[in-house]
Amino acid sequence: MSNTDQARRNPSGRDEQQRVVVTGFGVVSSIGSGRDGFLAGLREGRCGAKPISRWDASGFPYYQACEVLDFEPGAVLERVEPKETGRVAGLAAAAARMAMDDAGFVLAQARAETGLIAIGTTCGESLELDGVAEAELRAESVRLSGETARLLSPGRLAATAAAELDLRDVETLTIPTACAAGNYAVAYGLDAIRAGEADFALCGGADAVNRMAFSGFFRMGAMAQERCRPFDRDRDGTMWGEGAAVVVLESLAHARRRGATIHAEVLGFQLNCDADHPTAPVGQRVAECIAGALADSAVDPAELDVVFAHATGTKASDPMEVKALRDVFGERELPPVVGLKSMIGHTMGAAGAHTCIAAMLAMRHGFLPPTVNFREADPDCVIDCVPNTSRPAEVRTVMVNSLGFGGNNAAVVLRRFDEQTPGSTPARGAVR
Amino acid sequence: MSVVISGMAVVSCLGTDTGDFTAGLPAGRTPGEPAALARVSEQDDEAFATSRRVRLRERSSVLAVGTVTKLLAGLDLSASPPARRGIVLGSAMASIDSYMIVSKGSLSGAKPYFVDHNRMPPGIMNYTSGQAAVKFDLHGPNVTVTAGRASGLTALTCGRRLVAAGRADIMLAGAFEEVTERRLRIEAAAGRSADGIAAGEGACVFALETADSARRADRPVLAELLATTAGYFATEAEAGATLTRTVERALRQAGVTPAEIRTVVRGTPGPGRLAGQESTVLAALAPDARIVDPASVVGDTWGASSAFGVAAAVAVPEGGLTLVTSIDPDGQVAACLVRPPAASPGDS
Repeated sequence: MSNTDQARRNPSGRDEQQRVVVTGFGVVSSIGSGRDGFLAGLREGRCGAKPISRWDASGFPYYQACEVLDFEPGAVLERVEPKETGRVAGLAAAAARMAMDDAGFVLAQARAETGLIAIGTTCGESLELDGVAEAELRAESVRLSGETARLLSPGRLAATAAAELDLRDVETLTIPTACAAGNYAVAYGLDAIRAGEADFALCGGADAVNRMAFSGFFRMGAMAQERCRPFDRDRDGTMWGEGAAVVVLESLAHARRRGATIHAEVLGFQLNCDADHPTAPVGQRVAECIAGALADSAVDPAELDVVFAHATGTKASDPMEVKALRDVFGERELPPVVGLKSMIGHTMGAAGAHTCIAAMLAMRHGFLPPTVNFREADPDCVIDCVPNTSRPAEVRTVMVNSLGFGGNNAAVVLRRFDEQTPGSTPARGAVR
Repeated sequence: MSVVISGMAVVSCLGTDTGDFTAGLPAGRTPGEPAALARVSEQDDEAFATSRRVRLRERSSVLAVGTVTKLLAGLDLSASPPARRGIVLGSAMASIDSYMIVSKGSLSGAKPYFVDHNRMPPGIMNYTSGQAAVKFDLHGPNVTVTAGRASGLTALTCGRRLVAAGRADIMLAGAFEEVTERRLRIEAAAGRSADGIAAGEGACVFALETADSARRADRPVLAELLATTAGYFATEAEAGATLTRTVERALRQAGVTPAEIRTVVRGTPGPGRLAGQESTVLAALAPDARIVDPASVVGDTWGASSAFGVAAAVAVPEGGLTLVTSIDPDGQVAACLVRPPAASPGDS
């Protein structure tokens, strides 16, 4: 292998056709939307929590969530009529449009290629479903309008993005793998590109704060009263967040041919399943998922500059995840472990993708986003969670964890794209 | 990497055993008026029983996990550790009934949080694949996909990619859908009900692995999964053009020519604009191929329909190289090429 050839390979020894990079992203969140808005929100450590206002939650003793009130999909949609789509499909399509713009992807080129659109979700077109529930209660014989009925298929989340971008040779699928779905979508795009079955992939997720998930979690005692405080001794639950996040994936070779700006490389991932309780994660499986993602990426734990944890802020889940990380790290010191949900809420099927985007902004702008709302350390989660204030840091290699309902775990490893690094600082892991 | 189908279980109105489907499919539709509903009667079958560990609160989950149970009754997974066994299931709109129970409970209860929270996990679409994993210790990739009528082929694509990428030794992949009053109401209001075809239900689940893996486990190959592709159309008038392009990509991926296609399993149930376009495309592409129409036998199974298409491709005797198509009014188009081993010597 020549030196030049070596330099073009990543830690796993993959060549430019097999290396998959992120060249753009679109993001809608409660702390800011678009590249600049989201970056500012992360840097300032904003918190999107406020009383639920999209539907009447006033009968609940408390009802905080991270809704997006300052962004309407219609502001960026060019082909799809916002009125003819549900809120969630509209958010997904808007994030896809923003991602392609951000990637500088000429749509005429995209139309001549083969693409993939994979959108993760937990609750699908949930606000419309809640509306149908209300209508069913009101009338004995329900007359569902054709307009509403056509919005309800969850497959439309991905299909609407294809309509917005006017793509034809594109595989569209919605991945309702609950709160791990965003990472599942990114993972799926990685394999499709490596297999040579897609020239580009739009991967991410979208969800809205809905009555079903809020009332169900409230009943389980899993909703935070005021704020989501991952790793805090007094954390009292998670908080739902609204939003969408989509990344553009392509092979390094394809990105170079386009002359695209490369934000990060997706080194690898691991998907696994607890195969146990639907809502209580199994620490051992989570540790296996984390270790598997590192092995797939040929990255040593010590190389991680930060872990973006799933960190929902519930009593049981946070210490389980910290312990799983410790099991993988062994004697090594844990890097900072950030809980992004403290800022944007738990954006469900979008959470993995939101977090991947936050990780790439951290790499590019040299800072660690904070875990906000943090007051007092919990002896069961002793970590540096970057409390309350972002701080400058060299961020090169990160892990993003997503753990979903049903025991679905997904961990993704991303690395800053530095032209010279692959050859000069080889990973300590399995370098070929 | 050659990925093969090495196991299949089909549950439909024809019966809860795969043999009921393979025997009933060639017979075609019983003459006379089609039944309004093509439902499964699973009451007496042990495979569909729930337990304390695996609680299935939606009948669609019962059908799906029961079908997985049927598949694994004849398939020994012990050569692969649990972490190397995965599952991917698709449906168009499973879980909506549980979703509605929680949402309506919140709207109508004395307090908005007096809801049956046990119905929340089943109200999220990945519940069924999760419960199948619990029942059979599937610790590998656990995926749920949805793409309207293309959900079944989407699940097969996902399973094929995971196997080809080495993410699992074996992936169970399939789709399921149930006939419910709410589904029929939504389909009717959306103008999607199939014309002259009974609404159907059921599930098909396949075992996917590499040809090497099947050989090592001494499992007979039911069919080689040569290619799966998908496309999209924004307006109905373009459906035929998208189908043509999607099939052409499948032919390229498989490295075969249209002239080699012996059988076509069509995806659109009953007459209608999309069915007309599909017929035109298929007639132009493979004019001499035998046409199989599983919906005429098992009803319009919606999210499971393209999985029934693959099941038909496997079940049809002497099918040779077989093309399976799927078109959804929402724009999702999918195609798949499979080849049963019997036809291999002549074709390759």
